[in-house]
Amino acid sequence: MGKVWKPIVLFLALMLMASAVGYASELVISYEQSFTSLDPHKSAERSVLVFARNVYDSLLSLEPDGSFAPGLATSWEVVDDLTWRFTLRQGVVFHNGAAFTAEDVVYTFERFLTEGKSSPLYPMVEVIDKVEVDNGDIVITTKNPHGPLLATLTMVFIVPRDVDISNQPVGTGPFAFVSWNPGDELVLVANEQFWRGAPKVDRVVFREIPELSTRLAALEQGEIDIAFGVPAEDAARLNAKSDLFTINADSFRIRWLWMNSQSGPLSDVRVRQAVRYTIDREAIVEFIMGGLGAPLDSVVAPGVVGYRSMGLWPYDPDKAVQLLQDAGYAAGLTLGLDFSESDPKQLEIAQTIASMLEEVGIKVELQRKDRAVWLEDLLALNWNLNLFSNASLTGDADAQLRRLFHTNARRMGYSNPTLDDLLDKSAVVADPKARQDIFDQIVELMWEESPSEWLFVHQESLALRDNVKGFVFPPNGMFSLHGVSIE
Amino acid sequence: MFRYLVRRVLLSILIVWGAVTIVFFILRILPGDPVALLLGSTATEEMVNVAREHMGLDQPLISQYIIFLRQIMTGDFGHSFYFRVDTSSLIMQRYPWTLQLAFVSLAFALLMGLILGLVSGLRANSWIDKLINGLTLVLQNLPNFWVGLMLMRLFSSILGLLPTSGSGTPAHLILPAFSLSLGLTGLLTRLVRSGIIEVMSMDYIRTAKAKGLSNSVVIFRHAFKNMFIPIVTMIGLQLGSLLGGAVVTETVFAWPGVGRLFVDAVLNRDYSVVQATTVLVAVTFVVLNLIVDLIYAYLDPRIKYN
Repeated sequence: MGKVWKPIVLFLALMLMASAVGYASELVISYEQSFTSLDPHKSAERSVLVFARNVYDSLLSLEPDGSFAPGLATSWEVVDDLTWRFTLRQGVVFHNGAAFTAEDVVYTFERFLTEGKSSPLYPMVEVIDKVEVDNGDIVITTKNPHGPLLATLTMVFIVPRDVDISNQPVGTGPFAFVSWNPGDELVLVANEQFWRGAPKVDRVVFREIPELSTRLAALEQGEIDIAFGVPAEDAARLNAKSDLFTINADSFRIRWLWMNSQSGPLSDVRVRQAVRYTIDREAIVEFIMGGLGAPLDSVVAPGVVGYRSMGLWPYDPDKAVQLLQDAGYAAGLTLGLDFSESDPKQLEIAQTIASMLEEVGIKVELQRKDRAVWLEDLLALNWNLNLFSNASLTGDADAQLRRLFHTNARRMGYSNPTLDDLLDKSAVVADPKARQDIFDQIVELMWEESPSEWLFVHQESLALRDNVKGFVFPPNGMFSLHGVSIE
Repeated sequence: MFRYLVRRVLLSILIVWGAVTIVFFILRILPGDPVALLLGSTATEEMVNVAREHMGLDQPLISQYIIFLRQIMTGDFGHSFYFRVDTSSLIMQRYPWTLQLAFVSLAFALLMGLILGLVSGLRANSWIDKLINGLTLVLQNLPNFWVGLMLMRLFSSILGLLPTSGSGTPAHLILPAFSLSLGLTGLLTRLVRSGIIEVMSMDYIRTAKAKGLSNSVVIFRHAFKNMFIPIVTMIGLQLGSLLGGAVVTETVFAWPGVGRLFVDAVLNRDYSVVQATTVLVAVTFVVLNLIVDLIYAYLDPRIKYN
């Protein structure tokens, strides 16, 4: 009997050892979204930007506290209204060993401005006219004065010239690309040469686990170290386990109820305001989101440049009924509510809003659509109400507001020359104090005009193994794994 | 035989062409714009136009179709809009995982189906027959999704024996393959049961028994081969759908097969991926059908193809 067991025991022991060896420290993450591309100049998906943040560098970066930190540029100065000068960091190398130079920066902007035309980020960089090398420095000239330029530059990831990064990503960031099997896993390895110092883990694996309960089971079993997208219902249970903890992080992501002001009943500001008086935001945050968020008192999230608190819009159904009567809808009206199921709570929120509106005589037809159909109708302004969420990536109100509410944007069907003027002005003023003054007027105007209802600002929730240290979730969602360690 | 094969292959090409043509046009008639999907909610009209041109979607439908046919003749399935990678290599990265899952779950189902079917068929109407019947009916009709999660709960979370999800080692394969095999096991068990009951009442079985052959020789040499035709037919069909991807199982266990890829591609209007997967699945079905027909001739010498 002993003879039979010995080799089996030995084999099992070897298997155990083999599985225990591997990498000294490997961080396995299951993100809530699929990685759709690895090209930071062609996509603005949150997952792609997370990848970019860890593999690439930008000239400067947005820190979790909202300030700008030096990146591949060590310092910068404003030369005149249109011109900015950046001093570059010396001695930085790309993952392929090539030295980082000013020519790479020039190439990056050329690439973004030509190949990046189909990127959702393109409208942000469009303002850049020329990028030139001068005495080893980079001089950026804009077509017109541009206040949020620094915020924009945090989103432009520097790529090496002479390498086709769409197939083989090469950057200067804390981690280097190893492999990607779309829909399955993405593997990165530590860049020991990183100019801020080598990362604290050797390897990072992003594993795609689409089913939430599987993702959480994998976390509990220790197969993954960080799970994203944890609903409030599960957070308490996971937190109670001694080897896990959860983080609720403030974010710039807001949930909107857009209103199409171009035609139909919602072209009347009284109807738009009535809709807002009818919605009990606090109830939505508490009962549907499980407290993961806060009712919104402005047109952008707190912390975003341009934010101004207006106090919560009151929940007052009687006032809503009155406004609807004044607008000539005493007999009630019907509105469509479009949404795509971008996240698990979307349907519940839509249903709740529908029942709230029904109480004041607004009949709501829920239009649940595939994302592809939803977007097509959205762009064609073929809707009344639209439930949507997105985050300010740059931490500056300009990017969100100008691209949604300016007449040229045609996104909400909203057009107001006064608002257009203010938005245009906010973009060209560079002085922060003067910009905030303009934003104060913008927020006040939009709050009154109500081209949208601002429901709440999200808190992102994630669960981690308790040996994961140093993870910080920045409000724009683009987290860096540079400082994360496994103990 | 050779002429038969040539005819079948030509017919197969026609079938694959038909399938992919239908899919090509349905995709483009479906509401939903892949360009909008790529650019998101802040796209401007100019960006939409640039991207549409870049993706070749500004061409008239018929020229898009001709370009597409010309490309697939050379084995080029284009570029995935969504993942921005070469479609063929994307699918070839996924297909081995689908093959693995399909064949291992088929093996599980065959093993369990044959044993359970034989036991219950040879003891028809006994308590064990009734038990197996009940069990397979239940297993077959439980939702795949739920069974998968329960198996995961038991074997991973409680017993800690197997990984919850993912791929790479044989241990990763067990849960998804087993949960996927349950439905097929139920079907097979019932087919084997009725097959063995029918065959065992045949004259040649009585003759074999009368010659004094042992029970196992009678069953495995004389009965088995003769009850296999309906079973082979069913395996062919079921294997075809397994090879087309098992969306639910792949999703529950985060298995990187083509099923999930296909569904995501449809939702994301990722035309080239849907088209390439369609070709793959159509070819798989056609080849399997041909193999099944050839096996018929082997199992029953009375069947001849001319």
